[in-house]
Amino acid sequence: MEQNLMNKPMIGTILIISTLSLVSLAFFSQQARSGDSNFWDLSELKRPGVLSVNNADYQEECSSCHMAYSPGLLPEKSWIKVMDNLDNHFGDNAELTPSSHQNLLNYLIPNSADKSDYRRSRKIVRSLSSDKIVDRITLTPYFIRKHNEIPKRFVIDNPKVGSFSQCNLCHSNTENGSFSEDEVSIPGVGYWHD
Amino acid sequence: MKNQMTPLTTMLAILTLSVSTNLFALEAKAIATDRKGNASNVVQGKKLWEQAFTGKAPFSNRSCTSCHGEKLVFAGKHIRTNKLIEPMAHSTNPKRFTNKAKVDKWFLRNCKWTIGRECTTQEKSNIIAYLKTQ
Repeated sequence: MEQNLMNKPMIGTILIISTLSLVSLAFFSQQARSGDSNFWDLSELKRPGVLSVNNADYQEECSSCHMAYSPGLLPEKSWIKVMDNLDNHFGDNAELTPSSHQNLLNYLIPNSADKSDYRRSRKIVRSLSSDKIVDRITLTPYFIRKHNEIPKRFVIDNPKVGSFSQCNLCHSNTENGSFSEDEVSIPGVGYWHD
Repeated sequence: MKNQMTPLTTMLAILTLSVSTNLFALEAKAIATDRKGNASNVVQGKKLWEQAFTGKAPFSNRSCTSCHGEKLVFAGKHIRTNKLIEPMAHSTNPKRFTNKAKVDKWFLRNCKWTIGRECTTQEKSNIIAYLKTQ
């Protein structure tokens, strides 16, 4: 009599092993794909990008001259430094009334990158050294690394862009806190291909 | 007949004096307008708006027109970021000057950046008077 190997226990074992394999394949590939993150940090499986700006006062007060930068793009100490120097805000005067000033700090600090569980915010924070306080998003090591392959003529010497501070001119989905590479289209140049 | 100031003559003298004083005052006010008949605060406002001031490089030559542009019915552009600034002319942008807090905030920032100090109340009112005619 032939021994039928495909009995119930065998089928069960095969199913369990293949399920476990698929799950761990998915998990480890996800972790491997998130480049410079901590391999064992499970919260990386949460939200991509950064917090999309969701405060009307912040939108109103901080987007008259440039786009409203998500609080998740800098840590608390950096935002405090920016807010402490509004009378000389990168060469401009961006002073606020005391109540407005405090109101904005109350939005920035709890939503800053070091408090955030958004994936890109955490990557930004991890790239920073604890001793220096940068006050420009474009000076965070994470930002520099992400943009170091872009020729000058595409951004700084591009009259349609002019500066790396104009994120939304190339990143088409910043309103939703997304800076994904497949959403990048550089004015006068086209879609970005690595 | 005696040469005397009768009550009638006195009254006539006072009347003539007051009328001529009033005419003189009106004349003075007329002199305080420019050829187009604009009041002096509008003239002063336009002058301040277009005046050039010195500042820190790279923007060593500054005026209100640096960002708001030469033609107020058109949008301006931020001198550093190139972000669009809605027209200042009340005729094309009637929302202008309707929110006092907003007006105060921008005067605080922009006078300090352009002139290097806060604008006086008179200067602010002159500028608004000028912009409202545009």
